[in-house]
Amino acid sequence: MRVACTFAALLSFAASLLAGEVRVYHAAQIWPGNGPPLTDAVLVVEDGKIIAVGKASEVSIPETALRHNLGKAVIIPGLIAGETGLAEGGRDDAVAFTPHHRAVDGFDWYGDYAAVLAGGVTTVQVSPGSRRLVPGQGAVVKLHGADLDRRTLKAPESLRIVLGEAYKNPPRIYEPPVGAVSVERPLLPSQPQLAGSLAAAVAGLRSAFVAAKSRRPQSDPILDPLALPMTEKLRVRVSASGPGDVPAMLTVAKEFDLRLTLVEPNLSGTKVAEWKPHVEGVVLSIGIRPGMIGDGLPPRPPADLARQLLVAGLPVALKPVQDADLKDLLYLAGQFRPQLSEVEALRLVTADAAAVLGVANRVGTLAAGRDADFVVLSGPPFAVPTRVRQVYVDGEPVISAGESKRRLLRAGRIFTGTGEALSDAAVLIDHGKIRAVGREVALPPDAVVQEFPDAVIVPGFIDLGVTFGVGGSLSSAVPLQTRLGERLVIGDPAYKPVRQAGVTTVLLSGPAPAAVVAYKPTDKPRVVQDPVALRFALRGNLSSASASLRETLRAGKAYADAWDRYEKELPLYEQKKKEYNAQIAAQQQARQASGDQEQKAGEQKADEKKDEKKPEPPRPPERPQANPALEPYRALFSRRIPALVEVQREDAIRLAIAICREEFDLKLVLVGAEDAPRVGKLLAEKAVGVVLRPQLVRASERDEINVPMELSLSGVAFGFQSQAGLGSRLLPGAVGYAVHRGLAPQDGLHGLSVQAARLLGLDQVGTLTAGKDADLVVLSGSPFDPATRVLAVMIDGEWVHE
Amino acid sequence: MRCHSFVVLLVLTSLSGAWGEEVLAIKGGKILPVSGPPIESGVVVIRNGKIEAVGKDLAIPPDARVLDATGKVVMPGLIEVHSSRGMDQTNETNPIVPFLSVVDAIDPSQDYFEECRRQGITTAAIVPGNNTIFGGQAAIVRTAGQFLNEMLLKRDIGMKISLRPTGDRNRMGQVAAIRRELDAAREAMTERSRTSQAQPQPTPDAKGGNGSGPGPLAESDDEDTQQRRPRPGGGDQAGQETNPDAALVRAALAKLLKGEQIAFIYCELPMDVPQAVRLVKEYKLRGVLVLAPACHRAVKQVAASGLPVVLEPTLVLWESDPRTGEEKQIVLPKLYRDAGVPVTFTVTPTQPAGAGRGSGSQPPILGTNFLWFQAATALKYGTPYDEALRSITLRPAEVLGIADSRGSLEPGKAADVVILSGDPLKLDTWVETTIIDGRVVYERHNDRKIKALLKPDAE
Repeated sequence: MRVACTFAALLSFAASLLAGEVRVYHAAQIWPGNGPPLTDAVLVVEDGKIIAVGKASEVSIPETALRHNLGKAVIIPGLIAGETGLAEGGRDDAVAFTPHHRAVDGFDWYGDYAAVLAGGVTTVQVSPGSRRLVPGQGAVVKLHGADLDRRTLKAPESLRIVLGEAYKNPPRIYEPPVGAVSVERPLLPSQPQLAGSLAAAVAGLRSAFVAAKSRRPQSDPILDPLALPMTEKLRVRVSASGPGDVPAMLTVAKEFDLRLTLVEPNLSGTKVAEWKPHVEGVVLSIGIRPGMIGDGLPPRPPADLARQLLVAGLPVALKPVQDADLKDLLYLAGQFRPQLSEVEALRLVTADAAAVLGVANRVGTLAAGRDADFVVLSGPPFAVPTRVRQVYVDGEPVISAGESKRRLLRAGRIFTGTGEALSDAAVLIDHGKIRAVGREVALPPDAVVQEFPDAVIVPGFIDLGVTFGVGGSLSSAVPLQTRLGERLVIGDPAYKPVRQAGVTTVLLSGPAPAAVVAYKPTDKPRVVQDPVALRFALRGNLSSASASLRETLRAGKAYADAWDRYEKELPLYEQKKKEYNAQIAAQQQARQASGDQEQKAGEQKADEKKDEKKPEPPRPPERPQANPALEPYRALFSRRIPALVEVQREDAIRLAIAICREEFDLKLVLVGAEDAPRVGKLLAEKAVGVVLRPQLVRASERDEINVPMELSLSGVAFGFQSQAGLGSRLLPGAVGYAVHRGLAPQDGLHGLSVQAARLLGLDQVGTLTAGKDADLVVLSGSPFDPATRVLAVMIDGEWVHE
Repeated sequence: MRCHSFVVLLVLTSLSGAWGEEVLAIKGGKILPVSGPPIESGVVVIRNGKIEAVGKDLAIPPDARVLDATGKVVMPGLIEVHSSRGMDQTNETNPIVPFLSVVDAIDPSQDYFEECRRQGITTAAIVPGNNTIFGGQAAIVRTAGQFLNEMLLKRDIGMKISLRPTGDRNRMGQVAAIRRELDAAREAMTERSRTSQAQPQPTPDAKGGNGSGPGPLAESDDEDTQQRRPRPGGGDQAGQETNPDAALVRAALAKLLKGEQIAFIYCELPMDVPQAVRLVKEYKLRGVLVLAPACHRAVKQVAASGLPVVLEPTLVLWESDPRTGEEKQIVLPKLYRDAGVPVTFTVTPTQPAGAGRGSGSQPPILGTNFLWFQAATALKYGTPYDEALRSITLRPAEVLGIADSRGSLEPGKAADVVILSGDPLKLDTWVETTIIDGRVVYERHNDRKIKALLKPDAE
């Protein structure tokens, strides 16, 4: 009793911070731990204690309470392990008889229990040892909290006695300890300890209890703890896994009127019915280890025994085989089904465990007056996909969110951008990349799960032409050697509204001819590719414009060809150089080998030397002069990036195709191209894509032309550009109008995402498939429905709008 | 053998007046009295080993020997609140030896004391190491003197209680052993007061005075009855009552329980801190926490306990998060200061558990082995200057209960003065002169080791 109670109030200031605040947790189900679940229930917490639990409709909640709606989540009590070796890592003292040892002295309050807590376990029994006859006194502690007094639930909890096999033949004690000895203190013969057999152990225990009883009231540090079971009704926790252990202990218990907690009882020679009134609880070893395969492991946990004990009215707690399994306590309790019902299985790690440990007044059940230790699960406790979402100890959340770099997003529908629309599917995101998409997706234990039940997830939108990102408009020409990607400003005012509209990748360039950069409008913009294309124009007087375009391309091609040639010749040269070097080396070696003979036949050698032919060293290819202004053309002519050509009318379109596709064989994407629908067939044939202007639906004479619709019908790939600053946020709406006027929604969506990415050869964005950047938009309903709102936007796995 | 002569001399001498010159005046320097604001070009007058006056424009007595400290800094001698050096070995081999005294183990000729004077440390509390359950009696010494009696300021000031497991114990066993001894001692106390039987009480002083032998080992013929393991069933511990050493242990621990002595409680891990606090409260000890670096995780408990704190040499450490692998720098002086815990420093390197022998007096290298460096580290990480200076002068004196006579430059206090070439917390500052009780015990221009070290053509 004197343990731990003295340094109370040390950190009560921490608790006082929470004082007075009422929190309400509203969940789909609340399992109180000792009975069937309540559906649509609330848990009311104040100052680290539960003040009410019940159906949402029946519990009165103070006006000022802070409400947490947990949706489909399920609340269960914080789990309790019936026995662990967390004190001193279960290391046993050499001495076999140490009833004055206290496990609470060996428990590390500052240890790292995050993994165990994340498994929902909040309270554990700590055992003073498991391989000596009387290793000491156990305790019950919580795994989290600043106030160590509040964390000490019970100390001492029990006096531990270990029977079975483990206690037998403890190490001999050397006195003094083996090591340096002095003359005055020689090493003595080692002392045997108790006990070698059950008979000796029981006899020893009996005489110890007698001695403890008779010495009262005189005090003795070792014997006093042995008197506690008789004077204070302290439980005696007996590991009785050996045959004959239980009957032997029952006799001792009867003699001294002890209350027992049996650990792993061996039923041979005894009947459960005979245990009362001395046995008040049982701790069963789970036996199996989660996910482990081993010849020594039993196939099933002792569920039948648990059933038998529950029928007999004895509370049962569980003990994992190793402390490492603590984090899986809930899973392991689930293994006791079907012999036990779900409610009964949960009892083993909550209400019953608390009863066995004698701490039921504090933890184990969710009821008014108990500590607010509870676990929020994503679903019913033993369902397969259920995960621990949050753990509360004394009302304080334990798991710090946002640590994990993995997220799982679930939504009503997911458009992957590959033509698939998956219903009730999920996306797994790992370190900013999409790892998996589908109806059934792996759920890593550390992943943060987010549910959007009625929402639609689509790929992030791509705007193929904007004017923001460098702090002002780019009206004057930008030299080709300028890398716009390096000039992007941090925190341009347009970034936020644009990405809030769902646009996650944009293209920026100066007036043609210019290099185009693709970047993501995060606060610190991230360049996707620079340059991603070269932009040209065919406008005004077409004959002069085409001449100038040709001239530009020719100069570029000459430069690119020179480099191509050089790069082609370089490996050949290197090959030759290698051969040449090998030849020289071989000659030298030959010369050296013959060096010994040189003296014998000096003159003859000299003649030979003259005859030796020196091979001609190969000539390196001429390296072209690097010109940063022309450098982007190398990518253009090697078809790594496309040429974006601004055109309007049909003649310009044809001209652009003639020059770029036929003459120079470039990857061509037309920009603008109002007349594109007229030459749809040609465009499709030549695999020329189109970037459409803001005005997608035009009135032409009496007709109305829905450009994207016409192009999609002709099989021409297209994307969209806003050519605007802030206006970029209206792009999805503009496409929505085109959809309203007849464009297939999927084509519109693809034009905003996958098609646009393909036109530019951007292979990291545009679809929701494994390996791509996690750029996505969560919509409240079908894309392009005017009622649909953007709920959230993610760029590279981070929410940029929620 | 050497120790033997010390013991004899200890018995012979009880003079203190022999210590110190008549009158000494230090003038012209910048005085940092620690107890008050700095005085530019002030004067310190020392008479008969005590400070007579500190101030500006003081008349210098005509008979004074004048030390010109113009351009220099004058401050009180530094105090190491907890040192396990200067003894023939840091730790006693046997775990429960509260009746032994470090006085019997101090070797005045050790380099440690010379190094102290070179660094301006004038007073040190010699406390046994951390590898025993109850180490021997600690003592406060001056760091100068040819013989122990010249050095000794105060003996039996306290003892070490180590929460780091010793021998083959685990932590439970360690705490259980500490409790057992304290319980037994307490019981003996109450027993004695109840029966009011005036038992002759063997004291460590008596033992020391007997000159019982060359070292602590001589007294250890069989004192560890307490350590002898209990036998199950055989609960009869009557043997203890008749064992003279058990009585010695109890008598020694009784002083601790009465609050007459300081309990230097060594905490190795954060989990030891609540244990230490609990022991202090339960047994009403005068506790001082000696904290290993890892204990910073229990800083809240430390702060709430209000106990004085001694920090081990490592003040800046890096810890990596077990899950994210993120490296985080931990600066102990800042962390404790933020929690409102005033600290002092020990510069004795911690010995690994189980290391019994060894004097722990390896030559210091630059860094955490210097007391001033610890204060400078605190200063670097945000501790105010006055506070940093106090943590190596006045505060240790307060912790040790000698603040009435040492720790600052105030009239009436012992004249432990250091003259430095500049700011005491700067790397390029030298201790020019160290004065203990009015006697000059170190002068840099006479320091042959430094000279040899700094000789330009030194090999």
